[in-house]
Amino acid sequence: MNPMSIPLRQVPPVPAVKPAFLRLESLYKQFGKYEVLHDVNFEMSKGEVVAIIGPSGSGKSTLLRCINQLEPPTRGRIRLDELDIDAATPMARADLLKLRRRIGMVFQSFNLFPHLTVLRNVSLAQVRTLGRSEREADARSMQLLERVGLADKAGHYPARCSGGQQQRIAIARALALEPQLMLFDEPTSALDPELGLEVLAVMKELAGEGMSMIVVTHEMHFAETVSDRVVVMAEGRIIEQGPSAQVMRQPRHERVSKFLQAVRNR
Amino acid sequence: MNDILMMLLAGVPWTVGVTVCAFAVGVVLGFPLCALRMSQVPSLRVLGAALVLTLRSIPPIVWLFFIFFGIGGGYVTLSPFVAAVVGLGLITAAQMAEVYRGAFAAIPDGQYEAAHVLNLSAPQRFFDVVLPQLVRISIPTAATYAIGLLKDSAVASTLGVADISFQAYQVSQQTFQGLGVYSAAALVYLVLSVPVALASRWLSSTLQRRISL
Ligand SMILES: Nc1ncnc2c1ncn2[C@@H]1O[C@H](COP(=O)(O)OP(=O)(O)O)[C@@H](O)[C@H]1O
Ligand SMILES: [Mg+2]
Repeated sequence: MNPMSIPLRQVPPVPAVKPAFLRLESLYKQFGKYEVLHDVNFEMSKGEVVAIIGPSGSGKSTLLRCINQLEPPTRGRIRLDELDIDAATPMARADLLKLRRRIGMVFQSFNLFPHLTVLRNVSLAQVRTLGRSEREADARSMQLLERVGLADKAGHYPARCSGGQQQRIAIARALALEPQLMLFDEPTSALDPELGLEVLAVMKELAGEGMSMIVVTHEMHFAETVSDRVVVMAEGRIIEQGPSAQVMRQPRHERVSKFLQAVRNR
Repeated sequence: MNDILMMLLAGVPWTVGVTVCAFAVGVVLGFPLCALRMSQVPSLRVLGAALVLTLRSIPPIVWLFFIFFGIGGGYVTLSPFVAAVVGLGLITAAQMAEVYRGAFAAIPDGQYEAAHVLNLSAPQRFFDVVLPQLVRISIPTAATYAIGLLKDSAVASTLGVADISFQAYQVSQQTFQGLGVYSAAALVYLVLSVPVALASRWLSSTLQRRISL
């Protein structure tokens, strides 16, 4: 709509704070009797990059997987833009599709499809879910592969690519669906350090372009320098969150400083 | 000797026919049987397991007689060939169901998760992601089974299917050259299995090189 056509008095009042793009409200997740997430509250605005750190088993992956409903939360609410998902009410299939369409995810183990070429890996879902023609999809995939520096691998099978290359392909595959939010679950943990760097470089570029990102990571340097905010989890709870520099250099909690020390000494 | 060989070779189309048709039946029926076996519904799962167990534990010759003389002797008339294909096909289905089940287990969870996250629908997840990997994983075991089936198809001769074994029996009865006849028959079976073994080898290694499953 042309903004000029809106009469002035009908302009809604500008909210004092930017509304959250993603909001998690007292999220709980239980596997049977075992509580993995406990009262998680979190919000982020568009274009923010948030790092989630914490000891293994603290529920970081589960939290990411609850956001895109790979694991349905037991209790609580997830809002993404105008989507409002309450765990208490069964989720409409249309809402699930809408949610997933907006969220891209990158896994620790890449999870590329081994029977498809690199190009096909990136194109498949574009054709199947966005209704693009094979040609449009392939053209878009080539742009994205170019962007992650792997256009020359388009015709190869994933098994012939290094781990770092596979992860960059997985990022291209997720970006091909034009998500508004990208979730990364320890994207470099399965990689040798130098291969991890090429992946981190791609992620840093993506962050620079304004992509909203939540990154579960053990890369303290990435958390401190690329992310805007750091969230620390332990035993299914968020025990500290704040601007990266503050959390990483002057954490408020003893527990967090101990954790940071342990990771840095590794 | 030439005549003997010619007689035996006349059985080849029947042996190949029974094997190929029974294998095809098994490859296809293996899927619903595997689905039963892996069903979320406990009663269906038990039914699937019972079917697989039954099909696998009764000797093929008993199955074939049951179908040909039992069912075929009743209201429906079955030709020996059809009875053999149905009997061996069902046994193959039970084997293939187990092969598929193993192959399913070999596909990492991450494949399903990636497919979900990419918003692929259930049929797309199956046909684009799972099935091609399932086929690749199943090929070596299925090929080994196919070679076994080629041999075991000899049981069809007991119903009167004019396959290699049937011909061998006839010829040996007429010529009293049992040793020569059955050696020749063995050779024919061997020659038939070699291409299957080679094709499977070639297929698996090609796929292996490409996708390293
Ligand atoms: N599908 C599941 N079933 C049962 N327990 C699970 C499942 N997934 C994760 N858990 C448990 O939940 C806890 C948190 O796991 P996770 O979210 O993977 O932690 P993190 O990613 O921080 O290492 C762990 O104790 C783990 O064993
Ligand atoms: Mg994890």
